[in-house]
Amino acid sequence: MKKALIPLALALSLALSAQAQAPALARPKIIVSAAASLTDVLTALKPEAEKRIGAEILLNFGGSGALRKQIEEGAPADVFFSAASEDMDKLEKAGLLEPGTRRNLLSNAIVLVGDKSVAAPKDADALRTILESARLLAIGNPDSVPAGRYAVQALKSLGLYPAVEKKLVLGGNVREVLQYVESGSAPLGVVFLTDAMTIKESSPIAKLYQFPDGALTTPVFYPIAVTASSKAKDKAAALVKFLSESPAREAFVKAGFVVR
Amino acid sequence: MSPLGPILLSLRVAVVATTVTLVVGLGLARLLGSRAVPLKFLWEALILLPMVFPPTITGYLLLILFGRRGPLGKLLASMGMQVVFTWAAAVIASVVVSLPLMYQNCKAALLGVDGRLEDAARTLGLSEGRIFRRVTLPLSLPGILAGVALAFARALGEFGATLMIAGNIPGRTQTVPLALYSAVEGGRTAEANLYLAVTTVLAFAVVAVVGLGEARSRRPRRGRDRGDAAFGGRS
Amino acid sequence: MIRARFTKALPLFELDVDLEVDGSTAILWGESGSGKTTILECVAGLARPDEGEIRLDDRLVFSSSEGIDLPPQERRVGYVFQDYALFPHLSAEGNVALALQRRDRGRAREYLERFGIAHLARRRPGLLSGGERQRLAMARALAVEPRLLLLDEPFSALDHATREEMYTEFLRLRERIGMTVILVTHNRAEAEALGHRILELREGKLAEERP
Repeated sequence: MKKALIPLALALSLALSAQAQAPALARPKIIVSAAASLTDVLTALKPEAEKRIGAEILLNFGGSGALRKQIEEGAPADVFFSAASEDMDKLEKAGLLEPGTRRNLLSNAIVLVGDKSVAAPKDADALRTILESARLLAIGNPDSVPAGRYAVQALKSLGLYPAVEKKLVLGGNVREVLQYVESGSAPLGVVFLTDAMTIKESSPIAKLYQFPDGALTTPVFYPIAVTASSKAKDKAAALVKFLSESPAREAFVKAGFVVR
Repeated sequence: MSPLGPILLSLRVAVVATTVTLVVGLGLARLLGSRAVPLKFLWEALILLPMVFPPTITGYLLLILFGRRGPLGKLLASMGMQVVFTWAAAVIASVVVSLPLMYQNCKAALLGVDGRLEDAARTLGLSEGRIFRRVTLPLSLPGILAGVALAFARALGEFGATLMIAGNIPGRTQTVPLALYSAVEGGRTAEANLYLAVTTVLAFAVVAVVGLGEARSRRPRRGRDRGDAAFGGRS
Repeated sequence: MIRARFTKALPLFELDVDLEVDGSTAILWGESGSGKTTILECVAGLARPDEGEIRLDDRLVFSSSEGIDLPPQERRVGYVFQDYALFPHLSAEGNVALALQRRDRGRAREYLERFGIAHLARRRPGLLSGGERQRLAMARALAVEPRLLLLDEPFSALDHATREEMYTEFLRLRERIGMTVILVTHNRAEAEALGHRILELREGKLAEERP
């Protein structure tokens, strides 16, 4: 098996050379597991945040559910910034959060998007009409996508769910929902306000209606917290503080979030 | 964000992963292929398992294994190491999902070698190890190379399991598939298209390289009476 | 010298072998499927008898009662396979050299010369004629200086003319090496031409023909 040793040695040396780079960056670092919808805004805030807290920040983006599972299995995340309260609740119950560090940092609104040519509904009746006449309504899968869960909540509380129940198209994530609507596969879709803000000027679709806050039985929260297993709790807490103040606040507002 | 980062990372992960997969896959194929191994079908089922699971589930199982509470995670922690959220995890994920492909190809390739030739080598006094290196391996090379191509391609495209155990950390574990996904999610179409193009080019390159290698190792050298030694010896 | 007494159950009958050959050429003659190849395989260590004993030059290479079963590598038995089993990825010289301890190309060349195929040293088996391949298979088997030579239908793949030629060569070779040879064939004429003794294999049993 001598021949096997050469490529194996090569692989190991490659791997080790990569690891060897790490000590050079002996700066403290923290890992932030954040919801994918926060990608743009957090990436933009990263340089300033790193300066402020004096540590390197590694951003780990994903679906809130997957991020939560990673933390449950002991993944080394220092901060969890979720797009749904449920995931944070589960971690809190399991004792995986550092007590006293949880904050509801942001909020978001639920909106209806559709073709620009459609007249934006001004009230609940107009909304009902437009929903009833639509062929399909695209929303995120309520089982896995927070925006989908909130969409169902809003529709139910406004008494509109029965009208659309049979014509729902479920997307695996918000981007899929937007794509369904943009490509014309579904005439209407429900997403977060922040997602609607990413629609380009040149797109054929636009935001048509923003569901009132009261329509949601559980308000949309983007909670943030430091994990109990974090080995850099002070830096993590510093980051949470940074994100709740200016200039972070302005950046979030600009992206369409509601800052608490 | 420079697209070069994910590309280089993907290549590094795929090269390391494919090397590991080759050694492990070929080794297992040899081990399980030759003689009657107790519970052979069980071992084979275990190796092929990642093919049946959706990659995300495979990733979840790996997370349970390598996480701080998992058996392998605890073992590594006792040695001061941990792999979750590192590029080593990306390599592990790629190895696990591409191993079934490599194993199957190697197994078929090794079995395809005429048993008489190995018997002849035995009567000539060659040790089993030498027979494997100088008779079986050279003759099964085309099939093994096919396995390498498949494994490399699979490693390059690995997404679900990598996402779970390595995380989607730009600059550290964000391979091309993850970067592509993020770009699509964020509506950054130009960036997404770039990654798409890169992936396509890489796929063609892999197939071309291995196809050439296969063709060359299959084709018998016709009528070359010039010394083998001139070509570096053939025995 | 070989002394073999063993049994082996085959799909249609049981092989019951009682064989002793010392320095001469014994021909195993029988129809296809009569088990001739299996006997050779058992002697070489490529197959395992159910019960019995095989002794080569006073060395016990197989004994079911004592639990001995030496692998082929340790038996020093030269074997020429029916289709020659030449390594297709190596040259003629390479085929012989692989068998030698230090892949000694010089000695490999010597053997090729002795069999009159030195001019084909660099050719791959795929480019050799039937007769040339046969000679290469012989050269290779003898290069390890075995104590016993087994040949499984070595001439059946050749055309008539070549075959006659090879018979002569074989007889000459036999003179030179003077070792125990067991040759398997289903060809009666061949058996008579080449063997000192003819053993007919019928329904698993060997019956020596009195000359």
